[in-house]
Amino acid sequence: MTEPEAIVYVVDDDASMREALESLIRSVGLKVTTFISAQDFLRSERPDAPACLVLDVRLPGLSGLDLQRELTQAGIQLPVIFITGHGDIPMTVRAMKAGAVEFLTKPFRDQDLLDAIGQALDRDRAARHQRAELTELRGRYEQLTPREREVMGLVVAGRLNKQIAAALGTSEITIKIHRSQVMHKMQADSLADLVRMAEKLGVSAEY
Amino acid sequence: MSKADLPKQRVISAISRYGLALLCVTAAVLFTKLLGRFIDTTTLFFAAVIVSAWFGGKGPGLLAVLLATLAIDYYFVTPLYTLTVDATKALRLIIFALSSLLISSVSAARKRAEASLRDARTELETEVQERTAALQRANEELQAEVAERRRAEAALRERVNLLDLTHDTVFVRDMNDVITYWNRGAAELYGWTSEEAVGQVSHQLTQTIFPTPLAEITRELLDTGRWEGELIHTKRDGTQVVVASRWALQRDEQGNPIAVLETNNDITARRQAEERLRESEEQWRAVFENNPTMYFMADAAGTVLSVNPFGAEQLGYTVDELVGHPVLNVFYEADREAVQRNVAACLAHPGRTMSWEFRKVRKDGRVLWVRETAKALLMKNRPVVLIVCEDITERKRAEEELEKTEQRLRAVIANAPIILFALDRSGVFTLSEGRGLDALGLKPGQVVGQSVYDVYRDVPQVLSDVRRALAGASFTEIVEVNDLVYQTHYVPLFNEQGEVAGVNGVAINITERKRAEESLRESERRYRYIFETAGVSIWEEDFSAVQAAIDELKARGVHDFSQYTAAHPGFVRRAITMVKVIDINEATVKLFGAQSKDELLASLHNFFLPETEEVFAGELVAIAEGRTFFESETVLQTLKGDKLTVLLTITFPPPPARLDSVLVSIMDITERKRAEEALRKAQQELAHVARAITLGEMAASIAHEINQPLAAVITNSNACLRWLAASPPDLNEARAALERIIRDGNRASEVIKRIRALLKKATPQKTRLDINEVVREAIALIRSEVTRNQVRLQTELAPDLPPVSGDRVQLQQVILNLMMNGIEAMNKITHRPRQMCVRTQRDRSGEALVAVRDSGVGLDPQNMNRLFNSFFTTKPEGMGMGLSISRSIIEAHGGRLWATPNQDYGATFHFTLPAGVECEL
Repeated sequence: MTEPEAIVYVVDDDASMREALESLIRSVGLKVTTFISAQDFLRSERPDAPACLVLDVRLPGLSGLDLQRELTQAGIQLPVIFITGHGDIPMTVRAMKAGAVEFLTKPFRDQDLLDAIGQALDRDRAARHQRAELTELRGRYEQLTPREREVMGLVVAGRLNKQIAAALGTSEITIKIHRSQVMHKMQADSLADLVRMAEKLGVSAEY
Repeated sequence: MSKADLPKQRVISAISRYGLALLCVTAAVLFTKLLGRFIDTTTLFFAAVIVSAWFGGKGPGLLAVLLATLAIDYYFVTPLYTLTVDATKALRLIIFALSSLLISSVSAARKRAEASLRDARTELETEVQERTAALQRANEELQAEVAERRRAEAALRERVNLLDLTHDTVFVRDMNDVITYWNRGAAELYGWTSEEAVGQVSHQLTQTIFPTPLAEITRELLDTGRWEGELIHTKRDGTQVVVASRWALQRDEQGNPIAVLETNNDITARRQAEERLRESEEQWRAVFENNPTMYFMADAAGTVLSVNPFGAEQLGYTVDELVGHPVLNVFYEADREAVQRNVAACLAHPGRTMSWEFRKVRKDGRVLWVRETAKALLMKNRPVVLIVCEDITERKRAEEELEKTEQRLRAVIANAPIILFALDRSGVFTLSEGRGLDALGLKPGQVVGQSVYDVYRDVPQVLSDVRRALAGASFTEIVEVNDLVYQTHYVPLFNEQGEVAGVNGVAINITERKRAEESLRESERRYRYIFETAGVSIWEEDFSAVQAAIDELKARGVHDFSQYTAAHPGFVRRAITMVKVIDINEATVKLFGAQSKDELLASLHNFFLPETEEVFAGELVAIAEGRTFFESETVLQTLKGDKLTVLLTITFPPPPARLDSVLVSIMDITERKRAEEALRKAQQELAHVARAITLGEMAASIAHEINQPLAAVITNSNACLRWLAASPPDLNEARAALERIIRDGNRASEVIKRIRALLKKATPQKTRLDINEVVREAIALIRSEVTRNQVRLQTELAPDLPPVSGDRVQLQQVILNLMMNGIEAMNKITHRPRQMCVRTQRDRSGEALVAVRDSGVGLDPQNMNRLFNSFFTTKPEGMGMGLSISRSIIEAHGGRLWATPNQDYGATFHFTLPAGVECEL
């Protein structure tokens, strides 16, 4: 399965800047969609593809920083590159803290922006990859029975079969069967593999 | 033999003739029967036919032929006793019939010829006898006629001789109008002798003019034998005569007309008399009908017999409405009895002319006063009254008026504060009237009979004046009597010998007037003092000549004097020379640097500068429009040549008063002007500083405003390079990027230009501006500031605004200032949207209105009054000049700037600018 084409979203209220950015980004073969305001962007339908957001800090109405916050709150994980006419340190700190990839002050070096975009897209791709993997793992985890989940929790916690059997008040044989079921369903090659999966899923022993 | 017997006889004859035919045929049958053996059967029948035709004629002949043929057939042709015939016998029978027919007709014709021959002979004989008798008779008659003719001729001759004796004109003409007889009367009347006239054609000779066509006259003459009428003849001497002509037609025994006897009487004189009478009557009728005098004629019973149309018309009636009606009807009811009395008196004294004045009533009810002159006389033995009536309403009214006037006059004299007096030659009062006497404690007439020398013995001036008047002088003197001042007019009266017979006089108490004059003089002195000592230069000028010149122009059709004076500067200059300076005060002498008044009482030209002429033109317009007040600032020069800026105020007396005394006051405002100028300069400086401060406050925004396009330029340049570096290079994209670079570069330059304009230290310049454009430019400058402060900016710009006249930079400064204030007022607002609205509209008076509304902290009511004061500020780092300068800018543009709190929150600042009015900045 090939990955969908990456998209760069640009939000800037200044038409000249929007056009310049669009041209620049397109010149390196990236797909660009521009928006005049944060609201416009929020209202838009975005395809499921790796993307990043080039965002002007000072926007009429909802500002860039506000938009960043809103996205975070809505659980939309989109790498953001801030551009601003007059960035000051507090603003930069705030943006970076909120997870901005880069904070560029106009005028900026084109390479800086393109690098940031590249970086952001990579980051998004990775995140998407992770999200996809996790979804897969979750799917597998869902297939486990409650007893199997209990067993898996205790296994990844490093308990021995005997200990697990004792803890669950059953025989060691039964635990062994459960354990092999877990390994099978979770498609784990080894215990280490299972432990990593459990970590990703945030599964831990209840006891 | 009577005619009635003839048909009967003819019938009898016919019967006998046909009977003969029957008898003959019967006889032939009988004899042939008897003698049949001896004779041929047809012979006797032939004889019968011949006898019948001979004696009976054609008809009996034919009968005989028929009967004979039948008889032969019946009796003698086989088969006997039948009418049938066999073929052989038929031919015989036909031959018989034809032969007998021939015989019959020959016999009948012969017989007829014989008979007619006999008749002709008899007729001839009779005619010969008759003719002979007639000839005899004619001969006898002829002889008788000859005798008669002779007798008639004798009588005629006798008559002609008689006709010659008459003076009437008589002549005879034959039917061809040739005169055959012309009597002495004719010769006398027409002037032609009988020898000359006889043989002439009468109508040609006398050039007759007929009343009707001659043909008609001739027809009447022939029909009736007579004609009478009037003819106009021309005499031998050429004069015309009118004659009464009688024509009589003469006929001969056979009744054929042979001659006309014409008898003419000269009626020319009668005609003329009649004509004169008619003319005279017409004339009198015209006089009667058209004379603008009312004529009435009434009978003894008072019935109107006649009235002339004028008379009827004056009373509003027609003649017919009055004639036959009682004349009393038209009189005023109250006067009727007296009228009746007067008419009765008039009738009682026929021939005496009487007159009276009464009121008559018109048909429309209006009352007329009339004077009637009446005379009774007998007309056809009946007493009638002739009345001439004249409308004296006007005179009556005048009399009444006169009476009223007299009464009024009497009342006036009795009540007027004057004294009327008359003295006789010795100085004794003969008249002393008038209310003016009261002041002297006298009653009207009280001093009559007393001597003026006694009454006024204590007032020597009165006595000397009386003596002077009695000496014949007519004069007016002012005299003081008992502390009262009298103006007394003396007029001496002269008798026929030219000696002074007395004195008439009028004395008027002028004490009050004297006092008023005194106070007037006092007031004049006071005003004179004010005039002289006033600190303001006051000129009294005579504009009469100017007014006359303007009136003349008006008469020539000039109405728009603003236009006229602008087009005719020569007239303005001429008008300046027409103004005469009457007087000036000391302040004027001082102001214009003169030594004395006289130096200034010359032409105004000395003080006028070219700029002044324009103001003077304004004065002329004010005069032309009848304005009473004129005020203007202008420049004058002193005698030393210094320029003075002055406020000129002129008060003209209201029209139609003459402009011979016009007060012009001149206030030297040079210093004030200078101060104003300095103030304005200072204000300009301040405005500039304020602008600079405003821009300083906006520096961050402005930087952003420039940075934005610059960033775009750089980004576009990079993009462009990348498009070019691609393989293959994308030239279209590169070009698009370059175009954007140019655009953005211009944009940045535009921003800088605007800022520079704001910072320029230029003196204000008036231009026609679209206020919306000014607003848009200001917003372009401040947009970044708006965004930076998270303000939502809304504009509502009306499209139909009048253009305003003003300085672009200054107005932008005001708008920027108000917007900056609004943005700052919203700085601390976090709990509600920061909203700003800039609105333009045309206000009710047609001015352009700009309003800047914010949703900020609003206005503190306590500070409302000080809002526009200089150095008032609520901002920690504010200078307190913004609103103050804004207001002075707007006011310099002729507009107003004010603030109002919003109903919800925040404040709105408004300013107006008059539409397109030129204003001083």
